[in-house]
Parts: sequence; C-alpha cells; structure tokens
Amino acid sequence: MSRSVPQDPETRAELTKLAFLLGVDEPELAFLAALPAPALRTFRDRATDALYAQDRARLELAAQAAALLPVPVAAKIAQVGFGPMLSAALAGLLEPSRAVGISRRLPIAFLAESSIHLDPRRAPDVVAALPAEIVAQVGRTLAERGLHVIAARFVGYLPPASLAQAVAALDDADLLRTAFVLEDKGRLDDLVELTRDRWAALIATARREGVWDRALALARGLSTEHRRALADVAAAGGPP
Amino acid sequence: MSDTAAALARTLGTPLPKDFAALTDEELATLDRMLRTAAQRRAQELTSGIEQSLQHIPAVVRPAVRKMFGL
Repeated sequence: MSRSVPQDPETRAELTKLAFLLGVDEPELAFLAALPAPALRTFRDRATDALYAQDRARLELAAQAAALLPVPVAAKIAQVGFGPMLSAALAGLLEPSRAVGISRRLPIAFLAESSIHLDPRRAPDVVAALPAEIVAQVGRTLAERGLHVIAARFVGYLPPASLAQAVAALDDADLLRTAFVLEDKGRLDDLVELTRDRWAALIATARREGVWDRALALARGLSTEHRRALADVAAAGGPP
Repeated sequence: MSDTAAALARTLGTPLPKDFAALTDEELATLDRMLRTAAQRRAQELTSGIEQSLQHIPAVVRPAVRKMFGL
C-alpha cells in the first residue's frame, strides 16, 4: 500500500491511537494510511483485547493485592511501581469507588499519561465515577499536549456533569479539534447543546483556523434543530 | 489467507478485519512484529512493576501479597 500521510482525519486519528497502543512512532504506521478508519478501529480494539488477555491473570492478582492496601499506599505504588500504562490496565479491575479514591491522590499529569493507555471500554464505571474537576483537568492537560484524539475517546463515557466541566475547560480551538475526532458521534448534539453560548466564537474559530469544511461536515451529523440554529448563527457572522 | 496474515491473526487471537487483505505480506509481518513487541514490553513492565511495588508495600501485608503472586 502507498506510504503516505492519510488524508482522512478519522484514519489519521486511528493511526495516532494505534501508535500509542503499539508503542511505536506514528510514521512507522504509514503503510496503514490507505485503510479505512473503521477497519483500523476494529484492529485496534482487537489488539487491545489481545494485550489485556495475555496479562489478565497477573493483573487480576495485582488488583486483589491493591485491594489489601490503604488507598494512599496504593496511589504511591501506582506512581513508583506500576507506572501509567499498568495503572491504566488495572483501573478496570478495581472497584470503581476504590479506583476513584486512588485517582484523587494522583497528580493530573500522571492521570493524563494513564488515560493515553486506558481502554475506556474496560473501565466505563471508573470513567463515569471520576469527579468532574479531575476529568476537566485531565482533558485540558491532554489538549495542551495536543492529544485531542485521546481526550475524544472518553467523551462517550462521561456523564453530563463531567462532560460539561470538561467542555468548559477547553478553549474553542481545542474543543473543535476534539469534536473532529470524537469516537462516539452520538454525543455531538450534547456537545453542541453545552456550548450554546459559544457558537459564534466556535464558528469564528473554525473559519480562522481553516477548518470550516470539517466543521460543516461534522454539522451534518447533528439534529435538524441544532443544524438550523447553528446555520442561523453562522449566517449572522457573515460569509466564510 | 497468506501464512503471514494467519500469523498476525493468531497473535491477535481473532480474524483480521477484511480490509487488511489489502496489505502486503511484508506489511502484515511488520504489524505482527509490532504487536508481539508491544505484548513483550507490556509483560516485562508488569513483571518489573510487581517487583518494584513489593518494595513499597507495608511489611504487614507483604507476605500475603508475595504469596498471591507465588513469590
């Protein structure tokens, strides 16, 4: 297949996530650039499952051991012993309330690094139970690192309060970049509703950043009500 | 399915997505090597993570945890 940078943003986003999973530099996956995003996502999900399956027994033991420890000790061990990747793997094996208690004691930078390795399918209850302020801070940290692709993976798992706080923590450009690579497009209308007072600014940002076409393509997935309302705001702002 | 595709499917533990039929044997082998390397790295990190963690576990529960891991 041709080795090139993929034109399709969805494919580009999938290659970024696959590169993190495999621990390789993204250009090393250029030979996958012509594959459609859904096929890459299926491969990534299956590869994630395979990696979890091989370590399952030892991870479960580690989770049982963590349950014996006081939360502050478990948090310290997460940082100095397991590190972000294994802590992410363990998250889904812990009681959600315990996982949240440990998360509260971890630095945001560590949680952001862990989120790169966390498969939200395996820890949906933990992601949903995280305090909104932690979710917002992790989201902002990921955006500051340019990891909108990672932040976008979690949107489908966030309860309304966490999503609202995360959206408020992102500036307009970061919010657009995250929305463009959203895995769960079913939350697009929620995002649009949460940003009602920012529509004019978001539209202006999309025009300024040269991503107006992508914003229009994204808008096609919105409800009729939101599409019409956004079109009115865009028209009021003048031609693109 | 080529031998290389079958090898990657074995590593994956499930069939390959059908669009992956467009990849050459060399590309499939590269992907298989990447996935195996990631699996090895992860297993090594888990081993060293468990060993390092034991040093930070309170003495009172250390024997129980060691026993859990068969150490």
